Amino acid sequence: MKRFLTLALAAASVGFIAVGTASAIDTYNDGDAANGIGNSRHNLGSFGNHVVSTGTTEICVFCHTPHHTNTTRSPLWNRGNSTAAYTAYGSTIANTNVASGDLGPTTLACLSCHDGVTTLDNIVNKPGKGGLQGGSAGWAIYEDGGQVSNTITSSRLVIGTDLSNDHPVSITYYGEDSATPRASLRDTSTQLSTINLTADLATSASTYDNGNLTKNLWAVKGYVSAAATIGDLLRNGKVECSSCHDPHFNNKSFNEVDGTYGSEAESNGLFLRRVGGNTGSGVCRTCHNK
Amino acid sequence: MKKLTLKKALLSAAVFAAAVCTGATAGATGINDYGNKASAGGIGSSRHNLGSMGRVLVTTSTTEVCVFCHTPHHTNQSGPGGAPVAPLWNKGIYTGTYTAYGNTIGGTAIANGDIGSTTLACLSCHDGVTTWDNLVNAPGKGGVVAGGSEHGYGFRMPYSTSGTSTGNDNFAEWGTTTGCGCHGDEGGTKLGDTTAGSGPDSPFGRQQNILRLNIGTDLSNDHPVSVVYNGTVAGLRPTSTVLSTIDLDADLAASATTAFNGNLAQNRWAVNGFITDSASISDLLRGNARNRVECSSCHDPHFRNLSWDEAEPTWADGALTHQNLSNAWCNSVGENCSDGMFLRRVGGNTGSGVCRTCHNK
Repeated sequence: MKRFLTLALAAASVGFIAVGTASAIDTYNDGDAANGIGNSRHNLGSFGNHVVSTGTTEICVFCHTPHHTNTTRSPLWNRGNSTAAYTAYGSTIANTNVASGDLGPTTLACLSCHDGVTTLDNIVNKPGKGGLQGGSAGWAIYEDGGQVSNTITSSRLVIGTDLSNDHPVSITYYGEDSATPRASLRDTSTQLSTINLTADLATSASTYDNGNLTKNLWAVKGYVSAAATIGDLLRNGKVECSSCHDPHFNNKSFNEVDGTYGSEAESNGLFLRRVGGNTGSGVCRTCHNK
Repeated sequence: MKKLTLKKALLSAAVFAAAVCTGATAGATGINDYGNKASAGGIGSSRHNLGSMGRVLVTTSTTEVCVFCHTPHHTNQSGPGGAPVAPLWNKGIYTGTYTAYGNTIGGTAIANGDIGSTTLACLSCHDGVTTWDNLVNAPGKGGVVAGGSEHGYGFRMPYSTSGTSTGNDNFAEWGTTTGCGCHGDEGGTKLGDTTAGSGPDSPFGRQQNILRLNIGTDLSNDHPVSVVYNGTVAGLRPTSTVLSTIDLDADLAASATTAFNGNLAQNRWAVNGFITDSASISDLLRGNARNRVECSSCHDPHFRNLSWDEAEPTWADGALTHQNLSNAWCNSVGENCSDGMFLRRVGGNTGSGVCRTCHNK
């Protein structure tokens, strides 16, 4: 039997191996900084490798500033607010409601680029002595040498102003430890690295991609952590964009189905917090014990 | 079998099922193993895991499990009135028209346009038309196509050495002689069923008849869905009825109280992802007004419900082999490849417990 399983696994792997570099899951260890933004799509400065502006070499300024922050967003947010109104998810099947006014500062921060409306150069405190005038800085944006729109246009990357077709955010997490548990959500005290993600799967899942699913390390508070809990992914007890994503974490630890730029080395692993990404739906199943 | 009394037949069926269940992976296999507040999980090893690490019917194109139904972004918005198909649906929705049940004897009408979001979601595989790899937001960076598009995935049994043709990616295709014909009514000759056109006559073929799972585009021969739950017809109980308080063995033989570990003496259901003894009938209803019966009223597609003695195992047990397989179905675990029809009721439909939970007949 084992021999047949191995054969099945080998056959199953063929489709993935062809795509990119070998998995680097073992190079992301407990305590490592969750970094790599410089080479990621989130570096919009002129030294970036992908979508860049010629207006500044600064990296952080596209999101953060040490002074005069936009206090309706966090952390230390340096981007202007969308002029469009956002629509929240609404009611879930289990009757948790998210109203548009519930959208939290962390989620609003992400949307200040990913709403597809706010320009990438809409910066509150301009670099250097550029001033506090707010609004678009009037910079040209380039991608692979060609000038592109100064808003995000990729259908995959534009979340839009309507969040009703996205996983609920700014939504209270009702885990197994709550009085009204929902959506098979695990207890918030669950230590991420103790979650068994292979139990129900074919035997091959234990060894697939260098044991991707036998590890469950997440980038939390800037570091890859074996000790973090689900509670550490929440913000004020709620799920936000940042529960799954760390926009600084150039996560190349997994074999994505497709590279973004044709070369898997240029991928960012969707900035997922989980080392190993969403292989075997590992991100989803970390919270949802389905 | 004919010489046995019904009771003996039931008993031996139960013993058979139990013997097979204990033969493989450790896991809950009786109602007492499905306690209050336990997660209604198990999708990973169920038929609903179509990813490459699944155990029953799988693709070789992605390891992801959830993606075959859900996505966190860009969900399908071709639900009724242009609303997103719930919950977080990632499959294409049939662009034709489904035929609804019509009029019930109780006088409730369901028009084609009434078919609700949750039911549309289930039909996006079970209509026999929409392909299993028709996804809106492909895994990883595979891209977004609003309304969904096919991705050319092949599907097969995990131990098969063939059968990954991209043409076999919905129930109807698996059930035709041009597809994986052995799994349909035709039977063909591959599995010793030599009676062309009359349906499979070997136990093997019958057990692999995948057309059982094909609801089709015509719902007039199925229990009404997207139908308003009307407590004044069909013997329906009040929606406020707490499920666990319903007496399911009152009218039955005395043995019903203790049969199968007291299956009918309890009535826990999987609701909102957890097994619960406090949910009410209203918690099973859907739609904006939370007053309609949908597929999801009886079924939770994530809940691998092995808590009961099914009449038949889903797949043949390990003794049977297939010409295209290097080994038997489902890692030789037989009944453990069952999913209990994803019924929400712990104890499944033993004694028609699912039906009689709502219908006080």
